[in-house]
Amino acid sequence: MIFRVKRFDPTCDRRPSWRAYTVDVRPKMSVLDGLFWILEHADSTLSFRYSCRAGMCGSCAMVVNGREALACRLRLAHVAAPVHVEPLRSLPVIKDLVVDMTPFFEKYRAVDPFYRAEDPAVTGPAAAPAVVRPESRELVDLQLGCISCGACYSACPVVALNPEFLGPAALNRAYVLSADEREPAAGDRAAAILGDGGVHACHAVGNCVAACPVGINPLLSIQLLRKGATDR
Amino acid sequence: MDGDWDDLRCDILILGGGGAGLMAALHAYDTDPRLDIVVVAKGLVGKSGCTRLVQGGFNAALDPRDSPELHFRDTLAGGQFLNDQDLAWTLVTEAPEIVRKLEAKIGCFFDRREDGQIHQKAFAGQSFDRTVHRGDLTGIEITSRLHDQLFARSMRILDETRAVELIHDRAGGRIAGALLLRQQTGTFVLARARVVLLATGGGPRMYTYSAPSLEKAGDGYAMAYRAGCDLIDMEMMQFHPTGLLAGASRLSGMVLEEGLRGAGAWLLNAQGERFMARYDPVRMERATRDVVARASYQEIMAGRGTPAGGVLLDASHLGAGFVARHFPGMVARCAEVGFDLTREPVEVVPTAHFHMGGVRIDVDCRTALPGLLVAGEDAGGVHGANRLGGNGVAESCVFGARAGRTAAQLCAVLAAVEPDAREAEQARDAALAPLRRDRGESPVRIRRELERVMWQHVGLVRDAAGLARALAAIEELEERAAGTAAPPGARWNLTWQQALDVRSLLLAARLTAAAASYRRESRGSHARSDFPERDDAHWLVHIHQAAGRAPWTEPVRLTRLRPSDLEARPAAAPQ
Repeated sequence: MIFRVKRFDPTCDRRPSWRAYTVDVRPKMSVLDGLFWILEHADSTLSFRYSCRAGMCGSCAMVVNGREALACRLRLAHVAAPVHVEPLRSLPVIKDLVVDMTPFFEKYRAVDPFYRAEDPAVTGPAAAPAVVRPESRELVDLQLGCISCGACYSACPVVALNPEFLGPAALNRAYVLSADEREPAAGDRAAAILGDGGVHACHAVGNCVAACPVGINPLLSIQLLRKGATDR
Repeated sequence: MDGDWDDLRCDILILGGGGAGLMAALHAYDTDPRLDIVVVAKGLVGKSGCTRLVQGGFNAALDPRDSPELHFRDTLAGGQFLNDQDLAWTLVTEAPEIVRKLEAKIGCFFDRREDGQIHQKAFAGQSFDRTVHRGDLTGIEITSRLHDQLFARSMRILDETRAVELIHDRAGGRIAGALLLRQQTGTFVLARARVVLLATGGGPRMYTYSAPSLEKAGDGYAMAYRAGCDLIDMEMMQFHPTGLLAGASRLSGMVLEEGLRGAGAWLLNAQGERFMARYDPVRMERATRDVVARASYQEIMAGRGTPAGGVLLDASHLGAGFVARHFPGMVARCAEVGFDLTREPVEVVPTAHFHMGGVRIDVDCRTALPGLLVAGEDAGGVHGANRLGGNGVAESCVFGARAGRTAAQLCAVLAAVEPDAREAEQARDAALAPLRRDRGESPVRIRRELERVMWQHVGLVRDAAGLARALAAIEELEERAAGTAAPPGARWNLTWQQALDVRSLLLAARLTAAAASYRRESRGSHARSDFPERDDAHWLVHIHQAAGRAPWTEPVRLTRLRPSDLEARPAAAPQ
């Protein structure tokens, strides 16, 4: 199977270039397995990021045949040849398929993504876990399992055009916290959520929904935050 | 490159960005926010490592009908009394408070029962359903929320940074820092710290089938051993019974979680027999991991495995709806490689999963080396000869928290001392060697051979001859590893990183094989076909290994419970 991989070392290349490799594909191999095959058999200089190889860590998000995917979860049997592999969009390339996630996490940080207890110091005694009826969590539970892979951020056309826009993952986190009935001290996030980079910058294109590898609907979270703002 | 390094100074240097490292960072910071804390992660902090991969959950005696005493008995029965009882007692008594902290302070949300209380599910080897979880992907919730909390605190994070070596002070009496390698730039950092916490996680990836995340390489064991620490119980390697078999994919070896067996899933051989009836007719599939994994292995060796070399995990009789509702992560994982977990058996194989052995620590995570603390899988002793499912993330979080507090307290009394520059130079030169070599063997080939040797001879059933062959093979591979080469260019050079991984893996493998060869009995995860019985009269001992001396033993201190106490009242009654 032919892999075409976008190679780029910003410290010495003027622009990215595509390189082709013929990968010896065996059953059940993923795109990530294909990249390892290239590294071990064809080109020991290829760079890519990985960790868990099971869709849990969100380290290996990239763009495969034009669409965001976790390389470890996309089986080659389901991919059209030649396979075009390139780094996530809207993030600076460190080398080849490895992007700098700093802008993504800076924007995530802007929504105060941490749960705030009344006494937040972890060294103090903790209250008993809150009594929470499962039915009250039905919606928020669906939006909870973000693995911060950056796929939605890469797929979002507003992120690409508006450097202020916080992006789907950060706003989804803001929604999850706003809907968490346990959090005693919510409220400080409004400025980020309603500011220039917040929910009102979203154009509801919905690429984030299709891009999310774990089935979260960030667009829904953004719409719920908007609705909450109007209701208030 | 010239190999110069950047200097970094801090109070607490935390090597590892998984559960233990992050809990330590938060606890140290909240003990004294003025402390300058640096967290070093081999991958992206909070995203790499193995806490993230926890599926099943976190054992804690929360229910009034349960108790830390019962949890303790189960833990010792599972560990076959090789546990350090002070460490195990600390684990079970502090686990409930840590769960409360994870929920009420850190913001994790664990699954609830209908009445709104935390749900606890059944896991193998436990007399009470005490495993707290978030669906079947618990580790994502724990590490993501711990990571979120970093944003509320001011500390430095070094992502994608390998810890290369612990560095002593010039007098050699204590640890003064560590040499680090930043993967993104290919440059070195010499960090000076009052306290260094080693929390890199174990990660037995030196087997054909293994579960940990791919970057894991036993770096912590290797560094601690070279620095002069005592390592104990390194023969105790846990194989999880149900690693997914996925052909040539690196997904092979990834665990299908134990809750499936807890919920009643069956293990079948290729002839369709529930073979656990032959090995543990009472507990069946809910026997502890060591027992179930070895049974699967013996079925495969006896020719009753599948053509791909596995056995079958069958949850279909539980009902497709039930399986889909309770194990969505496992269903998705199986579907990717063509198995429908809800309706058909899935091929599985025992997979190297967790190293019970590690650095000798006390309950405050101190080691024999002043200035060095160890927590999480890098430490040994908590789990004895076999870890219970659900006790791993509990260990990381309980001891991570303790290590953070200890580190903060030590900072008040330990002055910063200069790391020995000559030692750092040697460590740097050794790390640079593959990069400076024009020609040499590929580290990947050495790694594959090591995996085969370990799987064959230091796996689920061992004997003296096989272990001797393994030790000889490892020695030969170590010689070859000294001649590996990586392509030029230090930035994000995966081949170079692999060469450094192989160095750690080989040392961890040698310590494992040497201890396995020393222990002439069978206990927990360590099964010797030439010494098939457990022998409490002679082998209720920890095997210690330290650089520059022959292995030695020290008796297990039975401070709270003796094996005879369990015979009077068995621990894990079948459910």
